Amino acid sequence: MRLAVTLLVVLAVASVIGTVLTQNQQYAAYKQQFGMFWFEVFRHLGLYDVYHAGWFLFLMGFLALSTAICLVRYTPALVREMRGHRVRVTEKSLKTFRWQEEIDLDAGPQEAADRAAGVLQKGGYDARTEAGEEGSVYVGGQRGRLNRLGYVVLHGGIVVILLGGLIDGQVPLQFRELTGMAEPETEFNKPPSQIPSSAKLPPSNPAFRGNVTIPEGRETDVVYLQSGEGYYVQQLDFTVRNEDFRVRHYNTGQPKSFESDLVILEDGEEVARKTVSVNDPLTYKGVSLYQASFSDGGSRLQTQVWDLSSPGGEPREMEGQVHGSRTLGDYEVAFEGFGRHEVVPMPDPDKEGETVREDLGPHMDLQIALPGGSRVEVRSYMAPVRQPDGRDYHVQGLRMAGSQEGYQYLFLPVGPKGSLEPFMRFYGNLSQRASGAAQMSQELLLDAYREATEDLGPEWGPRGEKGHWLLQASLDAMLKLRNYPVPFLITLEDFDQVQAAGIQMTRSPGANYVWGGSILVLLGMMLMFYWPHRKVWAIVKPRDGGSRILLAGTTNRSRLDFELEFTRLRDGVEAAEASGKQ
Amino acid sequence: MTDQGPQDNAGLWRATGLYVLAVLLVALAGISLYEAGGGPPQEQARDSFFLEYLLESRSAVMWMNALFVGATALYWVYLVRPEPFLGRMASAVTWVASVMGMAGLGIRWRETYLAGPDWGHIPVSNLYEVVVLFCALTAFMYLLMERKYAVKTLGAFVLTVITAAVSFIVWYQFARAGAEIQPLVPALQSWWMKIHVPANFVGYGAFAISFGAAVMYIIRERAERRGRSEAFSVRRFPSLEALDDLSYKAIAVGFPVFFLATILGAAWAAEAWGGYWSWDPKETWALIVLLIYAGYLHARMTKGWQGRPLAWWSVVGFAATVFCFFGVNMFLSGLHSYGEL
Repeated sequence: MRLAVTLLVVLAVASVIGTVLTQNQQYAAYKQQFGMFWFEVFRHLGLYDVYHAGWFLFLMGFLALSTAICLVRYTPALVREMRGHRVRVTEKSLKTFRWQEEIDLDAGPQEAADRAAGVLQKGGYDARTEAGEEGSVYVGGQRGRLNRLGYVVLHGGIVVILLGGLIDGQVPLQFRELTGMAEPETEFNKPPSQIPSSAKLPPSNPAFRGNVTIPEGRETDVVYLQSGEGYYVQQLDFTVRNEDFRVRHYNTGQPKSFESDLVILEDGEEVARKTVSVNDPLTYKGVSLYQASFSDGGSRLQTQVWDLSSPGGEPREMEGQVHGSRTLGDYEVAFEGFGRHEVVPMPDPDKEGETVREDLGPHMDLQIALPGGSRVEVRSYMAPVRQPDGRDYHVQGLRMAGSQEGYQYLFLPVGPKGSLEPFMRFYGNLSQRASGAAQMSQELLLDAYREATEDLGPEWGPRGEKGHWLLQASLDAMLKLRNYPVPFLITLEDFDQVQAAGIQMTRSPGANYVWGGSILVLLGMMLMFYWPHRKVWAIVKPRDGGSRILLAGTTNRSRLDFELEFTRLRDGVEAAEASGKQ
Repeated sequence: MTDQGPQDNAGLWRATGLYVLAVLLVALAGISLYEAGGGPPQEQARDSFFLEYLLESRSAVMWMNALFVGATALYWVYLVRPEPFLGRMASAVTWVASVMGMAGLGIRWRETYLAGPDWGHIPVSNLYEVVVLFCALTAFMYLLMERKYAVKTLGAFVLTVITAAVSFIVWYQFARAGAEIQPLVPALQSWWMKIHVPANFVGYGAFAISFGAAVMYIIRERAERRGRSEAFSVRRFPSLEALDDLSYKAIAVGFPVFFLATILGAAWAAEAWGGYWSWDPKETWALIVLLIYAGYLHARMTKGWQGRPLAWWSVVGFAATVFCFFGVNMFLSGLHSYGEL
């Protein structure tokens, strides 16, 4: 029994390790954190996946085994204890009990004993009487003998839970790995056809838990199981298609639900269909499919490239795809991501000091590699954004790649219909004129502006209400653009969003053992804690025409409660005497 | 020791019934004020005197906070000066504080529906809300224990733990704007939350009470061991035997409930995360807490341990419990952080 306590404490301490040291990271991260020496030491100790390390599983198995052995060893004694009902006890042993009381009664021994037994019966005790020597009578009562059964049920439940965990613990796979029959694939981005059969698991594998990313409109018949630095390919005996993935939002912009329309196919025939969302999986043939994460599945982006080195020309159309990249001269443009919404707090135009939530709408994230080797990140919004001055601007965020700081924003004023063209034309005209003229004059400037906006109507002219602003804002923007690290500007024109759902698939036949075992444990605890085994004896001896009764009790738990109960029983025995007199 | 003798279970049921009734009445009063007003909740709270200063959930909780601090002071004064009136006051203030906390959560439940058309959820979804639950629930459980075993002096120690939690609420509300009502992240949108979270807090509360009794045991036992029969703790604390038993009793309540809460969490995880056990830090720490108290129960029931070692064991168990509750959120990341998806 000392072993059990030690084992519980050791397991508790061992469990702490895995919460302090982040588990299942890339080995490179650990090497950086600990250095090569300690990295190797910790790796041999299995600290990167403590809960699946051999020594941890051994401890768990040992706990299961010792619990089972205790169960086998103690159950017969407990059953005996439960069944047994001794009525005759010696006065000497009763005198050692903590709860005892001697009461003098007027009734004769047999009558007094019957009354005492009656009081015990009323109190829920199973009470019996037995005649003893010299006219004395013994009373023996007990209550809560199921308490003893609690031990058996509780520990049986623990064994069942651990068994369930063992079933789901991929023991067959671990065995095959140990014997070299299975080996995880360590090279990612390998097409399934090239993966060796030693890293493939058959559909008959009884228990697994893996992940797979399915872009919208695509299907899969495998799922990937992480294992150390590599992975296994778990084959399924059906195909899963992701028809559509959606994110729904609250009006604050926070995500409200992630959901995928999944279809299960067998031999090309649809056999099941369900919209799975977080907290609402689909189960087919014992495999449960969960909405676990999401990512971009390669959205197609239609962009325009504005030349800044010789501005003024028409923008060039450029197509891109998220996760893909394009080369522009000496620059490499990677399409990192696309988002449909970005809700941010903005100053409320009506109430000063308050904010309103505004959706900045579709935007793309680019990473541009400069010829010198450095990289910049650009976030470009498709729609113009209204600024506190009440005017619309095209907005781009800019920062060095990997920087933890926020974006630096660039605001370019837009003309009618949110178009950048008037600004770009003005910028171009001005650049041409500035290079041709010795000196920039106001006349030259107005001329360049007029030419850029002549077909927009008088209000966009230099004296027009909007034109006045556009002219000023353009000049400000041009100053800012001089520091722009890239000689072109990419804007988002249109998009075709393709999302991908991260689906987790599990088969865990052990789950039902865990639930069943848990119910047993709870039941066992209820019996052990709240149904104490209580025993009360009375020895009634004749005394001067009446009798003297020695009442004594004992319990295996909960002394405070038994104190109250014993007091009630004693009072009951006294009261019975009183009522008997009347 | 006290002015009230121990009570049987019928008395406890009566007290529970009255408590539930009081919580319902106060909560309904607050909700009906919202219903009568109409319009967005923030404005109503500004326009209605009773809402703003009494029944708006944050105000109700603030009353709970103030009353718990007052009750703690009263219990300590009562510990020093055992006048029955002080003891009755301390208990009464604790009852009212707990009612305000629970009713505040009830009103907040309604407020989540008013805050956004599709926001409604049981208010156990963030740290602010669950610490309020912890305070109200722990106080309620303690009060039942106080009635049943007539151990008023325990209140000073249990209420001190609650006051520590109250300080956290106040800090979290003002320094971190933690009292704002937010919509639920998808992972929390489940029926399981309604039972998994409260069950956990019954467990936490019971372990806190056990801790209070264990600390008293350690103090008194030390005084007795050194032969200081005139020591304050020896004169005023319950007997060592009673403290030992109370500490055990609270664990006997907390352990099965905390086990159930963990299993409910596993059932939820099976539905939301795809597996009943992921060795997520919160899960693992729940297991650690269970293992520690399982060790306690084992040592007590099968090896007959009692007294000082087990009192210290209860203290260690509560330290692990506090880490499971706060520490995991603060220092460790994982599935329970809800930072992802």
